[in-house]
Amino acid sequence: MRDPSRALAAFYSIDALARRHSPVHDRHPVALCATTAAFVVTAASFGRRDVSALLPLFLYPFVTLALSGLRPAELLGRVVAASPAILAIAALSPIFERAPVRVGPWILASGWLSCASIALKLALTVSAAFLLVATAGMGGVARGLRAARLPKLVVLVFQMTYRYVALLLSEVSGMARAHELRAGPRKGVGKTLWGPMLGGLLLRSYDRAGRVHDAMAMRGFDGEYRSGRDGPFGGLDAAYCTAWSAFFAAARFLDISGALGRAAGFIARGAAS
Amino acid sequence: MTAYGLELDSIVFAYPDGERKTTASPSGDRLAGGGADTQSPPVLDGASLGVAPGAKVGILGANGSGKSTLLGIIAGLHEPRAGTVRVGDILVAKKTLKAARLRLGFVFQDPDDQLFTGSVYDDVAFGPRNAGLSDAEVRERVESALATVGIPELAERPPFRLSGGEKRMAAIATVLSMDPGILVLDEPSAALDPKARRRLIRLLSGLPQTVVIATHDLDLALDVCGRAAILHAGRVEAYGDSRAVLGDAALLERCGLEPPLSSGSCAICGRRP
Ligand SMILES: Nc1ncnc2c1ncn2[C@@H]1O[C@H](COP(=O)(O)OP(=O)(O)OP(=O)(O)O)[C@@H](O)[C@H]1O
Ligand SMILES: [Mg+2]
Repeated sequence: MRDPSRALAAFYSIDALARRHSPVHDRHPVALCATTAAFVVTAASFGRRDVSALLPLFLYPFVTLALSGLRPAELLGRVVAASPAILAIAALSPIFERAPVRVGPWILASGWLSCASIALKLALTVSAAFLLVATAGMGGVARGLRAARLPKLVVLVFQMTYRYVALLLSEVSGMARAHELRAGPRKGVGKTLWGPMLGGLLLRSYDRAGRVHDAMAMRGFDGEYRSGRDGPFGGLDAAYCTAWSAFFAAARFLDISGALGRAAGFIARGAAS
Repeated sequence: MTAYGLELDSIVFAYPDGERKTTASPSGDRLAGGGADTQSPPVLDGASLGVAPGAKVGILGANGSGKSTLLGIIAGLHEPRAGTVRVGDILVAKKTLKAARLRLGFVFQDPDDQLFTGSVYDDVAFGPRNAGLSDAEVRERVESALATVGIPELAERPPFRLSGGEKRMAAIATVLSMDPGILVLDEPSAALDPKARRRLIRLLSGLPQTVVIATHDLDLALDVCGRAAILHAGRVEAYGDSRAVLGDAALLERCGLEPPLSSGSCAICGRRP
């Protein structure tokens, strides 16, 4: 990590995105979480060699992006950042699956189809996860987890982990700066220093976490984090969930791409004759 | 808002892992080893202090004299080995801690410990939300707290991007929004430029709350606090009118402090009053 304070800024920037207002941001966090869950389950439930059938699902990230007013670059950046991991997982398929299949005019090893299918599913999932956090915020995600009847303690640990990563990053940032300023012309941390620095880092962030917890307790924290978006679940929220779920079901059980393809072919033939 | 009084009676406290203070000799550091459990000397050893409702008291003392520790005991962050703390008519104990803390606003020495969410607004809203106030009430509290400390324009900024002085004001706002009857501040003027320090002094002087300030800034103590207490060797060595206490050169000398020089720059912080 060259500049930890940049990482810290990037880390918090998702929080900042979630504070905007838009038709998506204004939905109840539980509605956003439920929709995301439905989306991820739908994407995962497609067959392992489905590729074209997955394509209609991309409507969800595109529409959400447009409605929420987030910049496409904000989403694409995250997907690109995750792409090495996605490709590493997907790339295993062509190695293990060599049976040939026909794709239009071409004959391919079936692994390539699985590879594309996995990569698409992962890209969809990463996009959906990012869009959820960027519209509902971490507090909203916690709200959703609570609504899914996860125990208070589990959700608290989840949130504290999120906060702890931020604390850890800010401690890293401080230590890195202190080291850099006194390290002279040398680059990087010498191997004799890694141990003590890491130990110091853990102790410091542990102490710091303790003080932060004290500060929270002093202000009436009782284990339930209130994000300020605790309004009632309204008709629009229900409609949002229902509309998307219906679309996901259609994408799963009706052959939308096929239908579009046939329709296009029909029109083309009609035009030609 | 009701300003509450504060009553500390013969507080004794030692950190569980407190340093075994052996009179420093080059080879002396082995003395405490070998399992011989030499009791760590208490940081506080019979400290008593009474603060009337609405009064402003400065807690002074050299580095390590136990100022922060004393404040931690007031806030119930440390449990005294002996002695009692009363916040208004509440005797602080495990069962009453929550009620007592509702009356206290505690501003930590390091504002980074107090600011842990993604925006100043969320941080200032944290306490009121925990108190179960409605969104409208929360907004009102946050806006009035930010206006009181003079940073209404910073509401949407992420706290870690603020300057030291802005962080300090934000940290004070996070407790003002809870409408506490007593304000407890640890080193509030550290890292403030003269102008910000002036503003802080004006802010603190104008608050209707009971205010307890631990500080090295003797001029701030003179300006804000009607009374001053000096901690030395685990006890309150002197407590009285701040002009009288801070004018007693022999007393200050004995307690490792230097008199505030209202003429010339302050010998401790180097600032001009
Ligand atoms: N967490 C801790 N564990 C063990 N000892 C501690 C701890 N915190 C403080 N001490 C010790 O307790 C004593 C009092 O510390 P305290 O922080 O209360 O002093 P202070 O008056 O606030 O000093 P300063 O003016 O430097 O802020 C010091 O000797 C310190 O070393
Ligand atoms: Mg201190």
